[in-house]
Amino acid sequence: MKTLKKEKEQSTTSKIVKITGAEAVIKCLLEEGVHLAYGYPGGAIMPVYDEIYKYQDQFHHVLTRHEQGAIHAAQGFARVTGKVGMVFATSGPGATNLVTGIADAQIDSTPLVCITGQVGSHLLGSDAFQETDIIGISTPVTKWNYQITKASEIPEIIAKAFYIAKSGRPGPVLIDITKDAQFGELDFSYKKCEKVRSYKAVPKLNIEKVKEAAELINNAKKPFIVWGQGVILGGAEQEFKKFIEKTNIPSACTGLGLSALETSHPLHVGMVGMHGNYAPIVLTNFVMY
Amino acid sequence: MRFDDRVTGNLATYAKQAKVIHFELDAAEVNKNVKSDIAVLADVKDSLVEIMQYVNKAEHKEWMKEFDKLYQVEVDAVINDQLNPTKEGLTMGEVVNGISKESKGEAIMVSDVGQHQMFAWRYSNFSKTRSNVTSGGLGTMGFALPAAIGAKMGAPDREVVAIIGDGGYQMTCNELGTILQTKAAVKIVVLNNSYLGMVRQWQELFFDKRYASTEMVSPNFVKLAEAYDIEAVRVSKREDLAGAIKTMMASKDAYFLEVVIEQEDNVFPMIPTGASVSDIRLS
Repeated sequence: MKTLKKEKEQSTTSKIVKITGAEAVIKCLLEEGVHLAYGYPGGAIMPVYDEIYKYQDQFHHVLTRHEQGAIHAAQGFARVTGKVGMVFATSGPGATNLVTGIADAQIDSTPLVCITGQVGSHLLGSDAFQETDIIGISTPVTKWNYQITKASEIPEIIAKAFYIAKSGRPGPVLIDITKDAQFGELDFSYKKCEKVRSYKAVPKLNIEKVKEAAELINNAKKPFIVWGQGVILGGAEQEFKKFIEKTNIPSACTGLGLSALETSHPLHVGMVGMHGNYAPIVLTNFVMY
Repeated sequence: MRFDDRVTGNLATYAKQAKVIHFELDAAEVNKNVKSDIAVLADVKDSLVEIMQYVNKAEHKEWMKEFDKLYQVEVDAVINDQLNPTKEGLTMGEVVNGISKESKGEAIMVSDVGQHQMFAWRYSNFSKTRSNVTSGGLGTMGFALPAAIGAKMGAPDREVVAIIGDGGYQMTCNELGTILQTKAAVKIVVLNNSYLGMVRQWQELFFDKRYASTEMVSPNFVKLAEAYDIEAVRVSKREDLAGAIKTMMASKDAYFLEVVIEQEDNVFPMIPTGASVSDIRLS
């Protein structure tokens, strides 16, 4: 009996305890290995900030001077680490101040999870103080978004948020949590998300296509590679280098692809784009003579 | 690969003679802008590992020579004037290149949006991956200062240098307060040409020099940084630049360096919007 009890205490994921939605948010983030977030408090997110205070020995929050600063900081963190950047903001202006950073992360494929507070669910649609439809506003610029109105939804939705943000082509996810869902109680247990029905993060490699591509490359007289940030996001820098060194193909990058291959590499022929390098841009349209 | 318009120019004249193989993760990108002959849809690492067994070892020495020849054209027409300028005013290229050299290519360069961003991309020598943090697709002015704070926290053992223009800096310089509170040891470099330089460049080239709302009056940036307890220096002469960069990079704390730049310098080469990549301009 005694050992059984001990086992139960050690397993954070399977043990079911009753906690508030706000505490569940922090526990979910710790389960995801997140110990650092950027943000700005306000009325509708205060229960979560109260838990940030209580968990401050395990969870570090950086107070920026504006929500835009918070989300760009989270982007900077995500870009250099490859991890998911974490942002908190309150409802209304707090949430709308994130929008530029969300759009930026979406087009640059940066993994972020943004959690915004929202007015109580009984006030939704009433033009309550600091109420805005951030789900509607952020829909075209997020990889996924969702509004939580019940505390019990929190673990599953946050697990899904992290999976979607970092899997496949990364991107920003926004989770809007009503204040009553933060105050509400739930039986907490956490399970990481590993797949979502109707969402295929990574297509299955078709070997025939690879063979076709290889044949085209082998027969090419003037092969040329343009690589982008995908090499970095896919963690494929070494594989990419081996590939170009075997085939000896001159390679240029986009602005976001910079630094995937060291600038001094002999096969690095510069950058394409509006202000890129002359050789790779002119030779893009090179016609054999 | 999005193949956005800044990369392709006019799609109707982009690589029309070429066969295109598109290695892609996101199916939505295939044939969105550039039509591919073969699309390899998968995780790029898996694709590269797989294709290694089917590709032959090859040399393309003659072909590489074409790149070398045109690189020399760019050196003569553009790069030399940036890195070894004979004019009095400081160039953005020499500042960025000086910083990159001082860090031996190891620094994470965080750039804002505009001319200085293009110079940061063009004249940094990167030796490590994940070293170019920038707002590429959206082009968000004000990105660099807060992004640099996050980058420093994500990579505390690496040098993080934010390269920002005088315009973008004033969009988020409130985040100096975050540096004050967290002590994030970010190196902030403001390249100040007293203009919104990229828009001014377009006005010069395409709007007959009608500088509508691009002249920018700025506060005393050194005092501003000092108000946040950040050591700050302003440089306007070439002979002071190398020493100032050295001092900044040697600092263990946050540091602010303003460099006064040639006011009406332009970034070249340039593919005018909507033009063919073949119509790239060197001046």
